[in-house]
Amino acid sequence: MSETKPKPPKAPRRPPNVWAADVWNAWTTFWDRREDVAPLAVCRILLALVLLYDWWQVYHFDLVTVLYSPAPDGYAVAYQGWAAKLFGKGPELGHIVYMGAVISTICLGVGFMTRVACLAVIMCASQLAQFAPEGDRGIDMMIRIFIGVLMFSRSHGRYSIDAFIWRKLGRPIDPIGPAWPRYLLMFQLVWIYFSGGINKSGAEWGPHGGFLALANTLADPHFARWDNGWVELLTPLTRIATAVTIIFEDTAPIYLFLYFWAARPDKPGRVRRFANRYRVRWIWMIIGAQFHLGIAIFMRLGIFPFGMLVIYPALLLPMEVQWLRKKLGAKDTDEMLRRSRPVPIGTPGLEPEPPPPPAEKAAEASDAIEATKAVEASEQPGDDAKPADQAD
Amino acid sequence: MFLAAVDGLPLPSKGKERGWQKPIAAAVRPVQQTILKPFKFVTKWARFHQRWALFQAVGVKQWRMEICGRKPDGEWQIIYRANDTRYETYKDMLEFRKVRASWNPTDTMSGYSKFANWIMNKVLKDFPEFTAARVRMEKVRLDRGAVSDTGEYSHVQVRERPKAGAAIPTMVPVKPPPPPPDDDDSLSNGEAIP
Repeated sequence: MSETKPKPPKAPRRPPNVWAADVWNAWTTFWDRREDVAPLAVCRILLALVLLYDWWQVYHFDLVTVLYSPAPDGYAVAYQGWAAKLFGKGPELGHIVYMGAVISTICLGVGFMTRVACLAVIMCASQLAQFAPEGDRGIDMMIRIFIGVLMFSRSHGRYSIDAFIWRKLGRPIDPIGPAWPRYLLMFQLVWIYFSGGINKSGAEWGPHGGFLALANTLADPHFARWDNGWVELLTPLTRIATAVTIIFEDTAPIYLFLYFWAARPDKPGRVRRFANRYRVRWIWMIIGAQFHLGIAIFMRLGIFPFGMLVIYPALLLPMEVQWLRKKLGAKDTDEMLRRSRPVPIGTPGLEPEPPPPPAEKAAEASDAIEATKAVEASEQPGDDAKPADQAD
Repeated sequence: MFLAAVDGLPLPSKGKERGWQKPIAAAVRPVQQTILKPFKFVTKWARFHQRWALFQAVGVKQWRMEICGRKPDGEWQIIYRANDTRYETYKDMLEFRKVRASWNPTDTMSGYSKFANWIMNKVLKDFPEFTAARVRMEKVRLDRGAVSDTGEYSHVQVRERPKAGAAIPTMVPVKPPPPPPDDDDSLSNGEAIP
């Protein structure tokens, strides 16, 4: 007769209030995670560079007056908003707000009074958007949202004048800061792709329209960077690219799973193992990056591709960030990992103990209950119990 | 995050719903507006929303903008034509994304006449030999990457040069557009928004 394995004892059923408390604890622990703020600092600097390039283009093409002054000098709408209340409605108002935007963007990039600079960039950029509403494109909104998130982050904890000043004053800013702003940037990026995908209503994006959306876009005289002759030759490729684009956008939320699977490779699951083994997350990021690089090469969409790409550092795991920093010569990478919360899997010398399997957990729980009972029993003052100080 | 998800619900624009979408949109839209109402001031102040439309529809019917000046002999001379290497005056400036947004045809094109006024004045100033300036859009057809001109034009705006001594007519300041109604869920500018 074959021996049947003894069934592990069932874990005691948890009452709903305990379950709710666990969920709440997991939620607050998730948002209270801490990590090196380097990716946020890099996003801040790159965002500022992209925005400065855009402001420079406005100046270079002599468009400050044209875009931000009402008639007769330009074609902005009549002034309104906080700037008009503060500085009056003179023809120079557009220039004042534009200068404010440039200066605050520089402050944002170098990390000087960073949070104030973030607020100032948002205020000036949204005011300019009110002056020239047609010129306020999706990427402008995206950048305002990204900067709004950075305003509440500790992106000035690294690579900033603020960090330098506070270090000189003897109160250095801790480069380990909340991770949630990075998560928000990540969620925002994923949402932009997903929302962009599900809002694509044209038949050309699907099989009914022959997946011709990219061929049409690349040949559109108003957006094409090059003469359209080559598009005709490569139409089959553009069909594939269209299909990849729409699949990529519609399935963008998968990235969040890929990210958290990669962050906890120790957890079980075949899909998790597959995704981690074949680096599906990196494939996703490379597709996204090439999507933007393709736009930058073949179309004239200004800062759009770069404004999106600069948020990609927020997609990296803390482990990858420290690996990159180490490659660039940073000495404190292990310390940064050890001080992160939770400590990333694979941190040298500080491997967190993997959680016990459920059966062991249950056994531990029953052991703990028995142990508690035993302790309680021994603490019960019996008839022949002696006070501790009188015990033999 | 919750508010962003509510704001970004992929509801079709009002009046553009397909048959099966109508009852869903009619039920969901009021709920969406009610949830978002207390937070409307933030999105209005910072001018953002969470509905993204990147090249929402790229049909085969498109346009190609053309700017011309009329020579004293009455012949129109093209000085700019979109994506045409023969006519590239003002190319970089006109194709800068914030300027293109004013003239690239969309559902609304609220800024087009302002833009046309400005560019025609500029042409008349920069080219004293022209007796008039014209902006127009040629309808083109895209077919698997090939662009065919149709010879049909729309959005035509013409400005004659004022007679000697008279100043070039200036534009009238444009009033700001009225704020969108609270239940307006239309996408930004009606089309591709990168």
